Order: sequence, then C-alpha cells, then structure tokens
Amino acid sequence: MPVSGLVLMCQEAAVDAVRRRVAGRPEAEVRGRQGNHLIVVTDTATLEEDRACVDWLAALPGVLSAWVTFTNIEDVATAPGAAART
Amino acid sequence: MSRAIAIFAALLAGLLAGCSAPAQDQQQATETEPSRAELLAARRALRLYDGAPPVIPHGVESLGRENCANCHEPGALDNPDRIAPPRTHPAWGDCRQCHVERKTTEVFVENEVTPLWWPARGLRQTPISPPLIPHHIQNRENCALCHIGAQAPAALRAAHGYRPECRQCHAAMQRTPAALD
Amino acid sequence: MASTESRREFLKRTAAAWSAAVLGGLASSCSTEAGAILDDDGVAWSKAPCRFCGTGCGVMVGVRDGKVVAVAGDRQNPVNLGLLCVKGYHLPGILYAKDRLTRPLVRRNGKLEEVSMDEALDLVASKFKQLIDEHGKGAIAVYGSGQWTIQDGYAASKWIRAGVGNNNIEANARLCMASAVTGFLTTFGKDEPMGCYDDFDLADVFVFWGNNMAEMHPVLFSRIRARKQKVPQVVLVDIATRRTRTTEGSDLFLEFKPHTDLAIANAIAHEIVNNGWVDEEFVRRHCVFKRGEENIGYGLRGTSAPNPMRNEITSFAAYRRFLEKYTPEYAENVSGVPAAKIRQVAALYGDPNKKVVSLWCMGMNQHTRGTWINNLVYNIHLLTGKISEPGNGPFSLTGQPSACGTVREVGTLTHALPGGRRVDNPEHRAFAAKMWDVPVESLPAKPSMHTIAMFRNLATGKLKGIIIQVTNPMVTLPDLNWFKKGIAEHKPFIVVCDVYPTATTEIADVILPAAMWVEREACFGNSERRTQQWDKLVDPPGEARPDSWITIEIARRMGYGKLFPWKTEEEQARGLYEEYRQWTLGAGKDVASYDDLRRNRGLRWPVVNGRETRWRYREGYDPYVKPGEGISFYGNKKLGNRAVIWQRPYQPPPESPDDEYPFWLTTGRVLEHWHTGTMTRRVKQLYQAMPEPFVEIHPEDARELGVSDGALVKVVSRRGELTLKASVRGRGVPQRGLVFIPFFDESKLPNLLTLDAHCPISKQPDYKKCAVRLEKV
Repeated sequence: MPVSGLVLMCQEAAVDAVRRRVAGRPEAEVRGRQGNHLIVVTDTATLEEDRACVDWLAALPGVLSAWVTFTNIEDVATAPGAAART
Repeated sequence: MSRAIAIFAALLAGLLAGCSAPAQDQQQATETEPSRAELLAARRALRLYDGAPPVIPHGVESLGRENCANCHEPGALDNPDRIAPPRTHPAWGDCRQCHVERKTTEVFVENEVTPLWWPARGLRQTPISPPLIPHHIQNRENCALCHIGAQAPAALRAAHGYRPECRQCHAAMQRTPAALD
Repeated sequence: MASTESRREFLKRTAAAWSAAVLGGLASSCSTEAGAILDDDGVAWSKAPCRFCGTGCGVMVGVRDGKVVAVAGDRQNPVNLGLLCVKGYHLPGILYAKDRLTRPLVRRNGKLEEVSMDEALDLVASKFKQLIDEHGKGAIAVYGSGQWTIQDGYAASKWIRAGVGNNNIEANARLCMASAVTGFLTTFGKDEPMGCYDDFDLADVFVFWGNNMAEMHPVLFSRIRARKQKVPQVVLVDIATRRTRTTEGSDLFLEFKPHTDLAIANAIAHEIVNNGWVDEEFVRRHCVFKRGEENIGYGLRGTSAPNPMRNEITSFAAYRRFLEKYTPEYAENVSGVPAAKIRQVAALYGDPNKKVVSLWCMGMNQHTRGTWINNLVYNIHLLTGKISEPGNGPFSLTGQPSACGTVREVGTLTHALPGGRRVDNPEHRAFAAKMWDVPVESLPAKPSMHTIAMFRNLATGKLKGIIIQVTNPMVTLPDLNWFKKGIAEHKPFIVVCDVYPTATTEIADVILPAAMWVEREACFGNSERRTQQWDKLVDPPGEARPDSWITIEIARRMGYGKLFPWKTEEEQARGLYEEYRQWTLGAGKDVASYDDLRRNRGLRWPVVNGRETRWRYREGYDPYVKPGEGISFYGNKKLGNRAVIWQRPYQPPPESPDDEYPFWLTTGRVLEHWHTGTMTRRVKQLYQAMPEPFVEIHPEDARELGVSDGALVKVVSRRGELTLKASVRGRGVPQRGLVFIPFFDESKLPNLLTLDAHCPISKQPDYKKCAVRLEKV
C-alpha cells in the first residue's frame, strides 16, 4: 500500500485549479503550497495505482511537472499482483 | 519524544533498508573490481566535462574495430573479463560523429577550462535515505546499464537489486530544464 | 506499535515533509521559465545556438562561477532535438585556451606591445581618418565573416557605408557560399532556401552533390539517417569525387571527375525531359527559360571577359535542343560515371511519387562554374515541380553559423544592403538614406571590391587600410604566397579583432581582443532561415569586447557617433537588431522581433504576425503568396513571378592535371575541426583526435608512388609546395588521380598550392580543383 510524496510545479495562474482537481481525487491530498509548487501525498493500494495516480497528477492541466520525492513501498510485497515485480 | 525519534528512525530504516545501501557499506575495491574513485578518475580522463561524449581510448581504424556495436551494444558482450561500456543512449547512426579517437597525448595550446564534474555520490537527505541521482539523465535514461546486475561495475551496483521505477525513490539532484531532460 | 491508521498518517506526514524539504532546498533557484533550472550544484543553464557551423543546433550552456563549465543538446530546439556533434559538445573548451587575446596589442618597431583599449581605439580611428584624408574615402575597408553576429555585421555595414561612405565591406562568406547566393538570385530572384530542415523528415530521396554531410553537418545527417531508419525504402545518393563517411551511409555512389557535375546535372535534366517526367503544368505556369553569356572566363589575374550576367529569354524548345547533347553517355564520357547510374538518379528525380531533397555545400559553391551548377540543380527541381513543398526541394547548406543571418540577410558584401536590397538600385539607396538619416548622395552607387579583389588591392598597395573581424584570411585565401608577399611589400595598415593569435594576427598592426559567443548577447541566422538569439552568459576576459562594440567605438572616434545612439552592450544588441529588422519588414525577409527571439528557439523568416514560414513561395505556407496564386516566385516580379530554368553548358576548368602536375588537389574540412581550426585545435579532445592534416591518396596511386599510410609526401603545385603525411585507406578515399588535404592547420596550408580562379558571377574561388604533383620524401 504505497504512500508517495510529490512536488507539483504548476503554472502560477493554475495553482488553485490544480488544488481543486486534486481535492476531488480520494487517494490524493494537498499537504502544502510554496509559490507555484504544491506538495501532494498519495495513498494507494498497489504500485500500479500509485503510478496511475502520479501520471494523472502529471497530466492535470496547468501542471508543469510532477516530481515524486518519496515513496513508501514497505507493504507493497503483500499487495496483490505486485509481488512479481519486486 | 525520544521514543518518537526512535520509531521514526526504525520506520525509515525498515522502510528503506531494501532500497539503499548505507554509505559505509559501499563496495570496496578488490583486485579485479575498480573502486568508485578509480572509476570516476577513468571516466574523467576521457571527457572534457561530465555530460560530454567520452573519447575512444583504443584504436579504431588501425585495429579494424570500426563496428562499435560489436562490443558496445548493450548486451553484446557476455564475457565478464571484457570491459566495453554499453551504449547508454539511442543509436544515432554514426558513433564517431561524437566519439573520437585519441591519436596523440600532445596538446596544441594549454586550456584552462573548468569543467563541470558531477558529484561522486548522490546527496542523501538523511544517512539512510535513498541517494539523489548525482548526474544528468539526458543520454543515460537506462539506469540498469550502469547500476543493476552483473554488467554494472561493482562499485556502482545497487545493493538492493532491480526494482521498478528507480526514479520513484532516486530523484535527480540537478533538476534540469525540460530542454535537458 | 501505533494503529495502522495513524501509522499511515505518519507516513504521509513524512512524505509531505520530505517533499517540502526537497522543495525548500531547491526552490530558491527555481522559476517556471523554459531556461530555468532547479540545481543545487550552482550551475545555471541557458539556451544559445552552437558557435560552429550553419546548422544552428541549440545548445544548453551550463555556467558556474562566471565560467562555461558544460553544454548539453537542447531538446526544445527543433533543429537538433538534443543532439550535438563532437565539436558542439566541446564548446566549453573554445573559450579558455591559455593564449586567449585579452589586451589590445600594437606593433611598434616590429614588436607587439600591450596598450589600453582606449589608446588602441584612438590609434585605429586616427590612422583610418588619416588614410581617408590622404587617399580618399575608398582607402579603408572592413572584412568579416559568417561568424559575425547579426549585430556585428549590421554595425560594420552601417559604419563603412553611412559613416565612411564607401562600399568596401566583404566577408569570408564570399569564399564560402557566394555561388549559392548568385545561384538563388539568378534562378529565383531572392536568396536563401525555400524549404527547411522539416524536409529531411519527409523526403524519400536525398541527393548529396559533392557534400560530405556526415562529417560537415553531422547532426543534420543524423536526421536523414533517422528518416531512413524509419522508412527503409528511402534512398541516399552520394555524388562526389571521393569516398567519405557520407558514401558509407548512402545507397548509391556516383564518383565523378572534378568539375564534371555540370555534365551530370544536364544529363539528369536530359533524361527527365526525354522520358516525359516534366511537370508540364508547373513549368508552363511558373518557369521561364534563359540562356546566359557563356564566354565568362575564370577571373584569373590579368584576364578579362564579357559581362557574365548578360542573358536572354529563350524557350522550352530551345532548352530541349540545348539538352540534346547531354545524353547519359556523353556525361559518362566526361565524368566517368556510368550512364546507367545517371539514369537511375534521373529516374528517382523523375518519379512523381517520390519526394526528393538535393543537398550541397562547398562542392558546388567553390567551383569556377559555381553559379551555373547551382542553377542546374534548380533546373532539375523546377522541371519536376519538386520544390517549395514539404519533403521536396533543393537545399543549400552553409558552413558558418551566420553566413545566412549576417552576410546574406544583413548584406555584408560590397553590393548588398539589408533585406535583399542592393547599393546599385536608386530606390534601395533612397531607402538606405532614410533609414540611416544620411544624404542619399553620400551613399556610393557602385559595388567596389569582392573579396579576392579587396585582398589583391591590399597586396598591390591600392587599398591602404583594413579592419578584419572574426576570420582568418591568411589561411583561407587561395594562392596565399602571392598575397603575403604583396602585403609585406606595401605594408597596408591592418587591424585584426580576434580571440586567439592566428595567421592573420601575425600581419596585424593592431590586434583588438574580441568577446566570443556567449561572452556577449547577439543573434545568428542558420541555413533554414532561422534567426536565433542568445544572452550574454559570462564576461569576456580582460578588455575583450564584442566586435559590434569595437566597430561602434571606432566609428564614434571617427565622428560617426550619431549613427550608433546605443550606449550599453545590451542596448547595442537590441538596438542594432531592431533597427536592422525595420529593413526586413515587408521585404519578404521579415525577421522576428527581438522579444520573440528571446522567448523562442529561433524563428524562420519571413515571420509575419508572429508566425514563421517553413516553405516559401507556396500558398498556405508563405504569407507573401496571395490566395489563388498557388505558387509564386515573387523574387522575379519582372518575369511574372516565375523561376528561371537556365541553359548552362559544361565547360572544362581553368587548370586540369597534365604530365607535369598529374593529380587533382581538392581541399576541405574534417569532422573534428571547424574552419581554420583556431578554436577547435585549442580543445584537447578535438586536437588529439585530429592533430595534423594529411594528404589523402588513392591506394593504387600510393602504391605506384611507393608510399604507405603515414609516409611523408611533398605536394607541389605551380604556386607552392607542402609536405604532409599520406593517408591511405583512412576515413576518406579519393578517386584515382585526386588527392585531398584539409585546411585546418595554419602551419600546413594547402592554400599555398591552390589557384585563385573563381566563378566570374559569384567571385567565389574554387578551392576544390587545381593541378599538383606528388613527390615521395
């Protein structure tokens, strides 16, 4: 059950809109803002979902880059379908 | 309070034990395996700066070694005694438009250029956290070539073996502009 | 242990804190601009075009502590998409060789002495004024190159024409692509390619005319290789006098005897006409036929010939009759290329389902019939209608970073004014007078001297003073001994602005240290009409300054300060460009605004309403073509916007091998070194890869001569001699009876051997052909 921390670099004008989009996604949460950067934490069931969530964040309109700075993969081996990949 | 710190440390240690080797555990040089310092020195001797294409340290035309792919194509050489670094970037047709031979050790005029050398090691936010990537990613997108498995020099090999998505834990230290990514 | 819920919350707090920490450490140097970087290594990255050839690759330049420490390919630049060649990757080295010129030097009693920049500039200005007072306005001249930035070229042109009041301005580009210019002008009425590099991603056939693109334009050649990799049926045709890396990468090789490309091109046209491959509709609507003066000579010293520009309009029928002689068999007889191969290439050009790009550089331009061979390749594209559309077109490559942007577009040749204007056109002169705010009478109506004439006059004492910037004529002029002797005898006043000691600073009375590349802010224009801007990223060493700054300071001291109202270097960079830009608007050469250039990785002119043009002369792409016109070669207004198909015969060159001098000599470049090697030889990796020039000999010729690879060979012409190591079966192999020598080493000059014959239309010398003999040493 991965937990990841991300830095989203956004266009200045889009920061609030990005915030609202993230708030609408249950597995992601905005934990802070510095200028045009948003700090986002994700909590998902599998590595695939973690990756999908990061991709979704990266593809949001107004997001210039999504940078994963932290991932907890401690419990991943127990997640279904993930064992083969570790 | 001290208990909280202990839990934090224990958690992080447990969390990261599998994905990073603590600094003191780095492989030592053996008779057959060059140390990280030796590898870096050899690397630098072949380049103007880190990121510049290395010159070719052996004869090409004179030795009839004009098919670079024979030795440098990733996976081309299985023999562990042969050191031929694999190509780390896409093939662009003519290797020698960037990689040139060294035909003399003389110089025409001394040059005082101060090259950019990437740090020998990736910075760690804490002693047990995964190191950041100390070099540019451009033209070296495939981490496995240098860091995973038997083909990688021991001193650069990841202690935790292959895991998907290296860059999920190892972020680039030098965040380069999109033009360089 | 805490509950699962609070443990996950703890992990999330850790994740967030981690992100914040990473962000905190990097945010200070972060911005969202394209060139910005998050970098804890103290390296700032900025865009610039490469300093070397005319390709115009984008590089990202890494600067730390005021020094260029690294470069990388710029993935956002559409020219190269992140790839560079070995020279480009070694750019940081060119700035920092130990013998960099940092202080002005004045020759006194034969010795160079350091003086202050002020003193040097005062001396130059007063000497120039004195020469003008004693010998008239025409006594002094300025000579530059395609390495001049747009700003440098514009400042020099304005100073000499609007200030001094003569047209004594020329550039190394005359030695490099003048035939391409006259080829474009005589065929299309307007200079520079109609297509662009996008064609390389779209064509089915690439024909290299005497062009070793794999070594000279490697990044563009890679682009063509990538096209071939994607579409294996793509065909590369190498038409050349020696086997090179380009031949290795090609599917078809036509090895021709030097100078006979004229016959081959006409034979291809012959096949196209005789097999019914002509695009009749295109030719009827968009072309006219012409025949020019044919007795034009070779521009040799002490010879004269009728006006080579004289011409008359003919007809398709007359052109057919002209072509009758040029059967593939005739061409085989002249060129040595099997007729079957010529037919094969003609069929590729003639196939209506194949898109064809023709490429050339020095092989066609450094040619005593340079203008003609350019015309003849255009003929092929015009006959088949394969021009000015995606994937189809002739493409003239350039060797210097701003040969197009500065020499051709700003007009730093004696006859030229910015925006394709000419000094001998009264309307254009009136426009110039208005732009420069000088009386129209003060602008001379006649072109004065082309490059060879300029240096002949310098060597015979007719020209009294010259300032030479960013080039090295004492390596690049043909038949150098003659010029050197004359200059030593007549002692003209010579000022040289450069970055390193060169063969040309050796003859200088005053040497001014120049700022180079990213040591100043400026613009270059590349081969595909792309203008690119870069900012000053590091300080130049010592008292070195931009060439434009030096020109302006000399102008001020001569009393022409009014022409250059800009004070700081930044104001000069922007001011010179924006003033120049006014000349281009509406002239079909509209360059982008300075601000647009700053924001973009260059834009291809004409840039109208902020939009660049990829294919000129075609409706839908070129804003100058009106709706309904389809195609308009609007450079030829007097010909009803039609391009010219020229009758240009094959004629033999002025000097061919004979019993006494049985070999052809051809000269050129190698991958590792650029132009005269003054920058690249000072980079360790490049020097060590190519430490010295060689004479490339065919293995059979070498065997007969009794020399093996690496043995010393003396090469002798009627004008000089040179001893070099033989290269037998090296990276290039010439045809039998031909030798090749690269010209990058100023201590081993093939131009001691070459002939100063030139194309009488373009005045560009032919460095590719003269007769020599070989002696075993």
